[in-house]
Amino acid sequence: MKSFAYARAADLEAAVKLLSKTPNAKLLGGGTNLVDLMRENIEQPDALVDVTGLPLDRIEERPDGGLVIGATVRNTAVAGHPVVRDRYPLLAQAIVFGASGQIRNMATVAGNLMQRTRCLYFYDHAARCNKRAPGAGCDAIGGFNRMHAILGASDSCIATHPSDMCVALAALDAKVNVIGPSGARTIAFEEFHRLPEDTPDIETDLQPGELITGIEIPPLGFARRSLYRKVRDRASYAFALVSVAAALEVDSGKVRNVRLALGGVAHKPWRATEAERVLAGANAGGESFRQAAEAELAPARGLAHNAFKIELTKRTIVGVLGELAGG
Amino acid sequence: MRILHARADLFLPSAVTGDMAAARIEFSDAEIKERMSGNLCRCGAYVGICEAIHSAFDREVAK
Repeated sequence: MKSFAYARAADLEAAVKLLSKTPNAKLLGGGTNLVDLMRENIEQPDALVDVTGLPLDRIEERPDGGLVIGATVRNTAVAGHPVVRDRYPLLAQAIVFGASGQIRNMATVAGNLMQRTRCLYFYDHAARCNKRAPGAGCDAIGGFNRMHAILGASDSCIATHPSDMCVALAALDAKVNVIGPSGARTIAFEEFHRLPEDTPDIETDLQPGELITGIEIPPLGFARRSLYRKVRDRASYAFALVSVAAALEVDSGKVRNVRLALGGVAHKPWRATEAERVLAGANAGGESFRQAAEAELAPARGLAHNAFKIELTKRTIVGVLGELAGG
Repeated sequence: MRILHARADLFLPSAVTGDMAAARIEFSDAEIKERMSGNLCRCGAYVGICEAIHSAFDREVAK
């Protein structure tokens, strides 16, 4: 592990300053992913700016019924919040389906967004990886790629985003509040994470010197009826092969409102807009659910070992929507 | 029924709880295993660990 400088940011202004003035600095939240990566010499920052002392550790209810979750709120605190459990059960569920209790107690909300892929080739210095060493090539494409992307992958990278929580946030149309040297701005969740294209080392829309201050979740009445389902090799403490976050409102047998997002299938949490389009106003039944799943997965491409995820994703979508429709 | 905790604000649901808004969570083998996940070993000893947690619960919590 490379040695590094450490500084605690006294306030938000100081954090932005430290981050933009210190060459090759990284932010330290719970450290549940970054510190692991530093031990493996995958991440080699020259300095860490500890943001856990910043006043970003609160969850606030907005007058319109939405929530603002501070960047350094621990995952456990989000899953345990009475409003999250009551109004956004898919978010509480996505969190408790991730990692373990100890990790969730440490991990922050912003850190969850910023976590890196668990692609084994990314971790293996003996392998080529465009994410770790841009331009080096990708050994996952012709290698053991059972866990890898089936949607939105490129010739440079087939890694997946590992988060559960982000899949729920994508379905909820959350917004990411950030601040940087040129001020504060808000990024739509959909635009926060990037597809790999030919620069898989650039994973988010964050600009140099910017940091996340919080996540806004809009009010979404029908999200009370929502679900997160995670399909994985072990019943617990494993990353998703495929996951589905959905909220569904049915009126007189027709889909009145639907939100759908997929995890484990792409370089980013995948909002299933094509499926949502097919479902709008459709019969709330197995046939429409299957059509929606087929439409969303039409551009999916399987590799040597992960083609099974295409059908698995379709069936998981149908299963989740069926359960929410009460069928 | 043995209840893990009667106060929702003091206890989190887990991945096996089902209803995220549940105020009462049953103290079951499934809940113990999920909540010990990451700690519980995957060899035969976990059966004894689960039994030990059950007896500690009976002694300390259920009374």
